[in-house]
Formats: sequence, structure tokens, C-alpha cells
Amino acid sequence: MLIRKMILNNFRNFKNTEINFSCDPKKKITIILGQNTYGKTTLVKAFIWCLYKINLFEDKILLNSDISDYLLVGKEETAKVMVEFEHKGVSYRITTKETYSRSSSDNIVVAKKAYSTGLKVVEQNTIPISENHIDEEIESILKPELKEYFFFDGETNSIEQVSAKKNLTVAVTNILGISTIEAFKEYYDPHRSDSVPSALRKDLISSDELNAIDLNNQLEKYTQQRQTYLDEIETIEREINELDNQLEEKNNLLDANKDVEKDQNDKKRLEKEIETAKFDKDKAFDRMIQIVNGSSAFLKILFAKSFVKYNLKELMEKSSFKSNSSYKGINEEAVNELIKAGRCICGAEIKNGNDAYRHLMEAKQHMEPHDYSKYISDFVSAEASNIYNAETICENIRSEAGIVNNKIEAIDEYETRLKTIRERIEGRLDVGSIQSEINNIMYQKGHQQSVLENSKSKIPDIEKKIDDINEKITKSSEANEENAFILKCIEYSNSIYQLAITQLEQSKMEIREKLQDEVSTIFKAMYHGNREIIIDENFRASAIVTDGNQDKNLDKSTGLGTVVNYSFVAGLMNLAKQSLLKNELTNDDNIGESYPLVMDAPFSNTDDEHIKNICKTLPIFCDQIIMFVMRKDYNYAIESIREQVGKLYRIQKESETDAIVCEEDL
Amino acid sequence: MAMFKKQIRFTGKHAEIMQKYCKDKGGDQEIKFTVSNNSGLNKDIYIFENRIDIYLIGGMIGVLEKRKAEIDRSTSTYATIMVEIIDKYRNHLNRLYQHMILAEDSELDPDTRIKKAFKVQMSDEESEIEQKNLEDYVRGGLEIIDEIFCECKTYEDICNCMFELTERYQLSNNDD
Repeated sequence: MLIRKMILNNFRNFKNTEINFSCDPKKKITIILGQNTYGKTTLVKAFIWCLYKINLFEDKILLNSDISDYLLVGKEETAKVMVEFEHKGVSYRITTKETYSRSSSDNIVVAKKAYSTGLKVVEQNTIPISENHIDEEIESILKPELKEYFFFDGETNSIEQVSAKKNLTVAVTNILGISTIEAFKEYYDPHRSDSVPSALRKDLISSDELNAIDLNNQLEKYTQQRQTYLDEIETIEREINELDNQLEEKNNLLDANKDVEKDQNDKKRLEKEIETAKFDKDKAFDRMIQIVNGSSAFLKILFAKSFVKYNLKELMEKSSFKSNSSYKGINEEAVNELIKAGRCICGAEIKNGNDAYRHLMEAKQHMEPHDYSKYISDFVSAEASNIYNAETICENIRSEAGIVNNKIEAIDEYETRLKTIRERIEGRLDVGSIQSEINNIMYQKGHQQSVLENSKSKIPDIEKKIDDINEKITKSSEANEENAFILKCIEYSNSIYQLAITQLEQSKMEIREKLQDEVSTIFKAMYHGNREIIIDENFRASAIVTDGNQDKNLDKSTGLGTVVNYSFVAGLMNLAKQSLLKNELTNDDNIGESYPLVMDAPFSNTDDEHIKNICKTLPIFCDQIIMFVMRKDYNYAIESIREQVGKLYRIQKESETDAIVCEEDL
Repeated sequence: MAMFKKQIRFTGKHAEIMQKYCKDKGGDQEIKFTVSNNSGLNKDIYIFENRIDIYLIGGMIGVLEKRKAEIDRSTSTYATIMVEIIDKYRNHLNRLYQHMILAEDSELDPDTRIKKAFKVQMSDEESEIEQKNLEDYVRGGLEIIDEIFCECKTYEDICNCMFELTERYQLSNNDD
């Protein structure tokens, strides 16, 4: 499969773009230069959408936003991608479209979901591919589950993660043809009801008809039960695999947004602090007002101030009203009665003008209701106590006002910091919500794994029962000579089954060894450090230092991880090309066929020398490379790959909603 | 004392000040005191709970600042303090009157001034004159309160005014 051309119409930020890719075996590389956000990822995702109708965009509307903005209610517009490629001498042209309209509620909605049309040219005859068969046709060329080993958009599928993928075994066995042996094994599996030995066993003639019916019924029951569990296991494994993919995607997003995580945590903390500070501020303000608004508290301050300011204590001292001159408990009315009676209680005569009379008249000035000594004395002692209270009240008011002002200052400061953080993370991912999604996926995965374990644990018992029943059927059939040939055949098919199991294990081991050799060779050509590649039993690649210790901390500064992944992809492709298993069991039609490597090249954390090495080495192992890179990274690689670049383009951004791809001189 | 026997009634701008800074608005036209809470919300606030509170505090501020103001009739706004409230706050009102008399500049000797401040009985005519004199101080004090708070737009402004107010009347301040 070599990609010749791609045309995009009204697709995302590409209104009308045509790119012709280099298919020249001597100039295998097509370079597309573009800065971040220019649309490099969009172009990789466009391939996948066109071929598999899988929409990998977060915003699912594919129609160009300029076009959708001017779309009138009731009118329709279409986003379209056409990919032209060649496979085994046949040219294909696949066009995928999705039609949009504006609804009466003013939303852009899908009027017709993604659908594909196709043509193929076989020996100069153009044959349309019916819509119903397009998926099948493309699947026969490149299975959907394998697409992620050839198309790296750098976002949902990044080359940085490829060697650590969970489902590598499936991918490797498919790419390298082991699936054929697996199919063969299944065909001769005695535990399956549709296998060769089961079919043969049905032809056996039993001497005990009733017993045979019973055994066959039991056999049918257990094979069905086994198949149900196997189907369940397959479904759960597929679901777990899907959950793993989701996890991988989310973790990639987290990794890619690690820098925002701290900001997002700070943002949440600041928002919380602002909320608390606002609450505290409002409460302090209310408390301050409460001190003032009841008259007595603030009034005490003013009374005290007046008392001190006007020296009212001194005023009393200057007056004739002394506290000890007051006649407490006697009032003017009582004295008037005594004068009227003309005699005091003590018996002394009270007569107008005598000493007693004069004394009583003078005393009347110091008793109720003219007891000014008492009045001024009470006034002075009350205001003196206010002096102490006033200071405390003033302090309380100032304290609450101070809290309000401090909180206002703090809120201002927090809001300034929050504004800066918000500007910095605007449009970025909400890492917290992604983490919650990851936790949720992990929970689901845990649940599915326990269901899977349970189902898997049932299989050996059922297989043992099936084996026992098969044994009984065989035994009961041996007496009848007519069964001899069939029993021989059953024995023969069992041997084939055992052989397939052994062959499968051997093949996997051989592939693993060869893959390790292949990847190691490529890795050595690319990597300038002191490490080697190890492929584990799940076909995952990792780099170890030469003293044999696993290096847990990949050297990020030199982009070791990136080099491992490039080596792995190139090794996998090269192995497939070499038609590794050239024996009768490996007749996969696609072995040895060319495949493109389409990638948003992640060179951001890779040093100059590794970029050069990768670009120099990849074309040796890949038949077609379509590489999306930033110009600065291309500048490092240019010397190494100049001779192999067949086409060079750059993405030119006309606006946020319109980009074009322009060809540049080599 | 025959003072504070009748309801108290303020008119014009002084009635407006009373309404503006009191929780107890009353009257036909509600005069609000709206400020920002410095968090994007505008809030109707008040500095004094009841009109009697602003009357007493205004009166003391007038006395302390020696500021009097005549009755204003420039607007039809009025603010009344009912007799029931007056009865409840009679002790504070008497104390306010005593401060006014004791603090007032006058030719009177200390004994006469004290007798006047604590005089138990007054003629209606005399008490009317004394109450008018006291309410001149109240009006003066209301104007000062308004001058302090009228420019406030935010909680922060109000707090700064509170600082200013407590600063001005704290005992250690000898700027008088």
C-alpha cells in the first residue's frame, strides 16, 4: 500500500487542499512542514477518517467553520477527503464524505453520516467498489486494528507510546502471519464443536445407541458452554483492550499536559481561597457594622471622648457639688414637712430664720430632686468606665476593618494570579477531569478483569470434561471395526492439533528473536549511546544498559524512548517485508507488501544527532514515509535525508479556519 | 425634665441622611446606600440600625465637632422618631443633653452649668428651646457623617472611613 494523493474539501481547517505523495522508491520521503496548531495532526486524522470513517477529533464537526458559520437553515454542505493509493498493483480511490446542515435551532448537525465511495483500477479497467464492500476491501488491505502501527497522529496515537502498547501480541501476530497458524490450530481443536475431530467423531457408529446419544448430548452441552465462555472471554478481552486504549489515550493526554496540571491545581486552590476570603471578608464587614450600628457601643466612644476632651471631671471638681455633700435617701418633700411642722425629728425647734431653719434650707440643695452632687458624681463615674470600654470598642472596629481590607488585598492578589493562570491554561485540557476519567476506566477495567479471570478459570474444567467424553466416545466406538478409519483420522487430527500448538509457540519465539535482532540492528544505527533492545514475551520493546540492568529512567533529554519506538516500528515493518515465515503455514497474502509510515514526527525531546540518525535509518526499512515535522526539526535532519525526499510541502495558515498546503522546492 | 416628650421629626437633607445610613428607611421614597462588596456584587448596606442610633451618634459628633445646622426644608423628605422609641432610649438622650450642656462654651459657672445639665423640670418653652439647640447639633453631626461616608463606593472605602472615624474619636488623639 503506497499512498499517492490526498484531497481535502471543507475538511476542518483545510478548505481546498491537494497533496501528492512521493512513491518514488529512491525518494521515499514526503515532508510536510508545519508549526504547532497549523493542522499536521488533522492531515493524519484525515487519512484514518477517509479509510475507516473513524472520527478522532474531539470536536466531532468536520465541516470547515467558515463554511458552517455561513450555512443557512435548511442548506447543506459537505466535508470530504479523497485518498488515492496503490496496493498489489491495483490503484484505489476512496472518497469519504459527511454532510452537515443548520437546524432550525441554529445548530450545525450531521445531515448524512460519513459514507465512502470507491473506485479501483485493475489492469486499466476502472471498477466501482460498492458502498457495502468498501470496508471489507480496505480491511483486506490494512486491518483497522493495525492502522495505528502505520498512522501516528501524535495525539490519539503517538509514536512515543508504540513499544509499550498492551495489544502488541495481536498486532505482531497479524502483521507477521502467525494468525494463520492460530487459525489452523483452531480448525483442529478437539474442544470445538465445529472442528475437524468433532466432525469426524459425529460419524462414529456406537454399539450402545442410548449411551452414544447421552454422551453426544453432554458433548454438545459442554462444547457450547465452552464456546459461550470463549465468546465471553473474547468480548471482555476486547472491552479490556478498548479500556486500555482509552487509558493509553488519556495517559498520553495527561503526559502531554503535565505542564498544565500544576496550573490547574493552583487554579482550583486559588478559586477556593478566593471563595473563603470573600466569605471571611463579608463576615468581618458585617461584624464591623454590627459594632457601629447599635447606638450604645459607638456612643460610648463619643461620650468618653467628650468627657476627656471637655475635662468634665475637672468641671465637677471646680463646682461646689462634692460627692460627700449629698443627702442620700432624704428628699426635699420630707424636709418641707419638717419645716411646716416647726420641729425636727430630734426635737429641735425649726423657726423661720433660726439656725435649724437655715441649715435645712441649705441641705435641700443637696437632696432629691436637686441632688446635683450625686448627679454629677454618677455622671463622672459612668463616663470614666466608658473610657476603658471606648478603647476596646475602637480596637474591635479597627480589627474588623483591618480584616476586611486584608481580605480585599488578598482577593486582589489571588485574582491577579488566577487571571495569569487562566490565560496560560485557556483552551488547555482539564487534567483533573481526565484523571477522574482514568480512575473510572481503571475501576471498569478492574471489574472486567475479575469477570475475565472467572470465565478463564472455567475453561480447563470444561475442556477436561470434553476430553473425558471424547475418550468415552472413542472407547465405545473401538469395538466396532467400521470405526477404525475414522478413529485413525481423529488420532491424526489430534496430532496435527498438537503440532500446531508447538509450531505456534516456536513461531512466536522465533518472531520474538528475529524482531529483537531486527529492532536492535535498527536501534544501533539510530542510537549513539550504550544501550540494547530487549523484546519481552508480550512483544514490548525496552532499552537496557549494556551491563544488563533495566534502566527505568529513559534518558528523556536525548529522546531514548523516541529512538526505541522508531526502531520498533521500522523493525516490525522490515520483518513483515522479509516474509519471515516462508513455510507452508504462513500464507498471509499481505506478507511482503509495502506499507506507508505516516507520522506526526515527535522530535521535540530528541537531540540533533538522534534526529539525523532516525531520518537516515528509517528510509532503509520503510517503503514510503510521510512525515509531518516542524521546520526546526527538519533543519537538523535535512543533511541526512536530502537525497531521499521526493516531495516537500509546508502548511500555510491563512487564518485560524483556513490553511493550505504549498509545495516547496527541494 | 420635660424634654423628649414628643416625637422627633427631621426634614430635608437631614431626613435623607437619616434614611440613607439607617436600616430603618421608612418614608415614601427609599434612599439606599449601595456599595460594591469588592467581589463584583453591589449591596445595599446600612451603618446604623435605627434612626435613634444615628440621632444620638450624630448629636454627639455635632457636640464634639461644635457643629450645628439649621432645619432644612429643601426637600419634602422627612424622618420621624416615634415617642415609644424615645421613651426606650431616654437615658441615652438625657446623657446626650448633659454632654451638650457641660461641653458647651458658655459664661456659666460650673455650678450653674451642672444645675442646667441635670435640671429635672423645665417649662415647655424652655424645653423647646433646649431641644432645638440639641437638634441643631444632631443636624450638624448628621452632615459630618454624610461627609465621611458619602464618597464610599466599596466595602474597602467604608472600612477606611471606619478607620478614620475611630482614629478621630479615639482618646489618644489630641488633634482637637
